[in-house]
Amino acid sequence: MSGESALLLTRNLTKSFGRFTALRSLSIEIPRGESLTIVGRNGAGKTTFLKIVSSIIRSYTGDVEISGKNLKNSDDDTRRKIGFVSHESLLYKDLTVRDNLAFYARMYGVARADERIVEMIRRVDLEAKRDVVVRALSRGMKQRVSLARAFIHEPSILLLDEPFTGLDERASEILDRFLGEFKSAGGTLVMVTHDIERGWKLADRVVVFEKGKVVHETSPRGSSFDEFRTEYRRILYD
Amino acid sequence: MWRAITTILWKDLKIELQTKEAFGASFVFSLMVLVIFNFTLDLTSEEALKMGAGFLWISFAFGGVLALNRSFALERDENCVQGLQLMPVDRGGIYLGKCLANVIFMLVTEIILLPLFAVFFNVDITARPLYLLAVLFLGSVGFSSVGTLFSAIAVHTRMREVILPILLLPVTIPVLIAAVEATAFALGADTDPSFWFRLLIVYDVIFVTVSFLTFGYILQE
Repeated sequence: MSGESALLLTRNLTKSFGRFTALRSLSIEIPRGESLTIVGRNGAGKTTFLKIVSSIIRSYTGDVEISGKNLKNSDDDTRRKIGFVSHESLLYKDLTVRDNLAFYARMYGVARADERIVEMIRRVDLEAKRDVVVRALSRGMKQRVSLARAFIHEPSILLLDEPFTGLDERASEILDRFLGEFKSAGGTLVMVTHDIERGWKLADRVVVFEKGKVVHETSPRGSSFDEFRTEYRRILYD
Repeated sequence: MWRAITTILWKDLKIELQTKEAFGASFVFSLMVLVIFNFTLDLTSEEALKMGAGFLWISFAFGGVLALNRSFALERDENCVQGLQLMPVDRGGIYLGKCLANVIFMLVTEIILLPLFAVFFNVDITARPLYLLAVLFLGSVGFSSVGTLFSAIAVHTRMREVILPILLLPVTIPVLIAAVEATAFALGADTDPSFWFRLLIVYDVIFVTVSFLTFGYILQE
């Protein structure tokens, strides 16, 4: 794959926290429309990678490019392309569902925000709860609102950090539907998860991080899940 | 930038109207300080004029610390601070929006406390009313400008409720002294307030600018 065709690209990406090096000269290319799943043990650098790509962490060495633009010099339009789903909802518990979405829509400069908010509330099946404060919702409902938040500005790159944690059946079903629609529309998806089976099912490519580096890379199209799981366990426990 | 300022302000005001936590804690604490000073000290009207401004700003500062602690505590729940870090807006705009919200919270508390202060200490708060309002505004901007920045720093620490006053109160001593001196004049004291008034303006300009420029580094992980 050439650097020019990659939507998201890192070159020699290194990040340290004190003496601990989370990422070691990591170079990775993710083409437009690909679904990449990143797995690995705790502390392997997976979440740090997502945080750098999403601009949450802005102090690192190496380069990160999105659509050919270096993230360090990027404008707001580049960062607007990114959506982020985490196991935490990033919602204000004292605001209603509608006010939370209105806040994120305004901050992302969403055009025709009111219509978009109504549409997103409908898509996560929470019309009856739109004027309820988030603290009064169940965990599963919060996660559904969080999905609406992440998709409110129609991102083209979706970053997911342990998205399956704490989901109830309904929220899980809605997440699968959202991700399926996002992939069908040509969206690029980068997911960090410990749930290797679900990660495998959603991925076009799976990489294993270990000590801040990619130590294994495979594609569900070229091998079976059982083969991957055996290899993954060997990497983790050998 | 303007969109970030107004949206953050809208969000913080909306949450405060819903919970009234910042105002409630700040008002009750400030009122308690004034009541205690009023009952422990038996001041003549001349003494009240000189010392009242000091008591007033002690109560504003202590109450303000409680409101400022709340400012970023509400970003900590559900990791909302990460939501702010992700946003495609100038982080200085986020700072200005939060600072403006804190100034409004302080001013509302101060304006409600002023008549009670006048009753407790038998002081005429209408002696130089426009001047008094200007001093309250400048003092609140100075206190909130540093307080908003330090609140963002303190939220990442384990002892955040303790860290904020330890960081904030020493740095805001100049603005508190200037506000006390200028308030004494506004209440009718026969002093020259021009130096203190200029100090308030200079302090506000410096600390709003420095905080605006450094907030992006504070907000990042």
